[in-house]
Amino acid sequence: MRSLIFSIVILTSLVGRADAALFDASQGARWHRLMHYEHRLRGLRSLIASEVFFFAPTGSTDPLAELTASRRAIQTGLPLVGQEAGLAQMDPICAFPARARFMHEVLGDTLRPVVCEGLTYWRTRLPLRSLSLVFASAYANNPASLFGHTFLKLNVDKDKVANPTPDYAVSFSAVPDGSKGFMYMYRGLTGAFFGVYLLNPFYEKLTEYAENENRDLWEYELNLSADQIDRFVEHLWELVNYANSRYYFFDDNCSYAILSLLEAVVPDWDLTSQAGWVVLPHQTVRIVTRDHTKIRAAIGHPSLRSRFETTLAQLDLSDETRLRRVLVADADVSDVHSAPVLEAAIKYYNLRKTEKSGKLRGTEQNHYQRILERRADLGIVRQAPLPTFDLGRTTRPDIGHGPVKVSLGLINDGAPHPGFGARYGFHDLLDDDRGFEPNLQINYLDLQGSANASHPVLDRFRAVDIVSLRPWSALDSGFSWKVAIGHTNRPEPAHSYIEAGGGLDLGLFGNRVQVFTLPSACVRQPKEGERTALDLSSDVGMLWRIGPGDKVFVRTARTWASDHSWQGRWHQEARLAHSWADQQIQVSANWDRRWWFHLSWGVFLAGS
Amino acid sequence: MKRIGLWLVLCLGLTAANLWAADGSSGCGPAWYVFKDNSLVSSSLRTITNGFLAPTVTFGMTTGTSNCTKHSIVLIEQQKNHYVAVNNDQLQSDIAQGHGVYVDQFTALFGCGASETAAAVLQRNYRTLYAQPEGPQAVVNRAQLIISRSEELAGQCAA
Repeated sequence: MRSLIFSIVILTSLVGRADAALFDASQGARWHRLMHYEHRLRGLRSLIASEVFFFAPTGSTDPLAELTASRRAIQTGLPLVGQEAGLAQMDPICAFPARARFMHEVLGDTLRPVVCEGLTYWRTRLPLRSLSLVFASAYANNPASLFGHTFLKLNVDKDKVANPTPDYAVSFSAVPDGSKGFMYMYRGLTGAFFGVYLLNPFYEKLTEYAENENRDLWEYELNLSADQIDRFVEHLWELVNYANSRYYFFDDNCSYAILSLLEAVVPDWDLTSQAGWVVLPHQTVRIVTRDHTKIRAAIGHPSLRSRFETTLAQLDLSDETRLRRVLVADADVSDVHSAPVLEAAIKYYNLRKTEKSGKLRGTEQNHYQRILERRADLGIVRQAPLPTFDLGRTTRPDIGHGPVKVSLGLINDGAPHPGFGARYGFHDLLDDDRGFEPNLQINYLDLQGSANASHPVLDRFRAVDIVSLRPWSALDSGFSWKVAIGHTNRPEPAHSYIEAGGGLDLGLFGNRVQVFTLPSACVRQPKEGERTALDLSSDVGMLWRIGPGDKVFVRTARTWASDHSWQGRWHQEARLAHSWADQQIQVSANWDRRWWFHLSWGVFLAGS
Repeated sequence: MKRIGLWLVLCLGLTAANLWAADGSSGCGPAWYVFKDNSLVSSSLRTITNGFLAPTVTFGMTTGTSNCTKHSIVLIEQQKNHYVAVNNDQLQSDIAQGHGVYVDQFTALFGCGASETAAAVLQRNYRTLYAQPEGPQAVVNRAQLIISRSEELAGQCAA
């Protein structure tokens, strides 16, 4: 009897300890990150939305239930994965190898010997030596790409493959449903799209971004151990095959998913908690690279446009003249002996293709073919070194300022009073260019106010304010544009507005000075109850980039308003900004029926 | 809606019958699950990134070895064809110029590595490579012939 009681006590103690170990494991960072659990407004929930990813009915919200059910499935081999979703079926160990590894390494389980054909093939084809975080710079022609994009590059160990194998890339991408325009934006903002992890050869991404969309790529090789890389390969198999999530443009987007994936592989890396409400690709690069021990190297992949501009800059005057002659549609190129000229022409026509949906037509295509043939006939030019295209350091996103800016200042509109400002994102034309596209402004959730005798007053709120300047040249007929949505109380009268405009930008002195005209139309809503009005504006301005942190901006506009019998009114604006070490001093003078001046000191913050 | 989907499927099938024939997977993975439709339309939509639809995206993309292996690792025997299909314009430019990332990656698929000699050999044979009829398969076959017959590249390229 005593021995029976003793056995029951020991057994209960062992079961209790086992339960405690299971519970502890289910609450640990490694399990939470492997299953992508996060604390949200509605409580703990996995980012993964697909039911097939979980064994427990409550698995997406209950880590212990999911760990218990996953463990049972991995131990017994049942249920086969995918069965309930009508998918091809797989043993749980083969379907979720990272999870099986967790059971073995953390809970001490012995795994059943199972032959996993597909997984074995996956591992054989992806023996990686390292991973890289890749940032693609902004693409101004697609609203979904204004903030850039991040994905991971899988660097294949060429010594471990029997056949030549390219590097691969994994990205988290939305699967659109065919909606366009406003509905596309609305559905992207509200999580109506699903996002999936996609694996493609890296050369596909290079062509897509660097060649077709003219986006520079920055690659940061991550400092990961061989074991961490193995875990990545296993977890990637799980995600590519079984995971989808709701895609939200601003937070649960490509960049956040990449951070979440890295945390699943390296639970010690605390990345997603630094992301903030709006997750920007720039910001995620800074989150990862902030700790320099995480990075081995940074490499730039210049876009077609960057390479073309570099090639142009390297031509002397006589070659520039030859280039213009070569680019005439029916020019005879058989007597051209300059490789740089022909290569500049080749890049020019490739750029033309990106503007014409990938195809040249008729005489342009024939002429392009003749240029290619002539260049090939010229052969290797031995006396000249191979051209190199170095992005330099200035566009690296990890060196850019934080997206958030807060400022204090002084306003004088006849009487001096304090002013304040707060901008949630992202980059103004007058901010330090380093780490950003030089001619692209994206401001959102930007308010400025002042304090009069009794209380603070909102002077202006910009929900979004985007300006894209693309310098025009004889070889590049760039289109510049702007969009703004907001509300202003100064200048009076108060009104809300939506404005859009487009025009021309000329770059002078090596693009250090931009002179632009962006005529625009603005739908203006004055006070409630009053009729909506339409404003048409001419808009001429100049941006002088004295240095990356020193800018001068001057603008003059004449506006004709429908609710004022189209009488014209002048606006003038001049601003001077000096930025250094995440700070900025700005002085501005404005005229709109009266003068007002503004002096401010601002600080850039990380925004997380 | 189903009729439109069927029309799209038929069109895709007719225009790319040879390519789709290689797609032996039964379709799995949550991107398929999202559409609850094991169709070729799902297959093409699955690859949209940032609103950009990649051309002939599932060209030789499956392993063909087992179920639920619908992922985008290119079959070994299709790597060269896939590379040319995706990067034809860039590769053609690089071959004409005798240097560049794309010709280096292409010659690496033949086991040549990032070789200036291999790029120069292809450049000298540019007109042969891009003679009519054009097409990824033709370019690959001609490149294979040129590389294998080149004395300069003897012993330097494996495949």
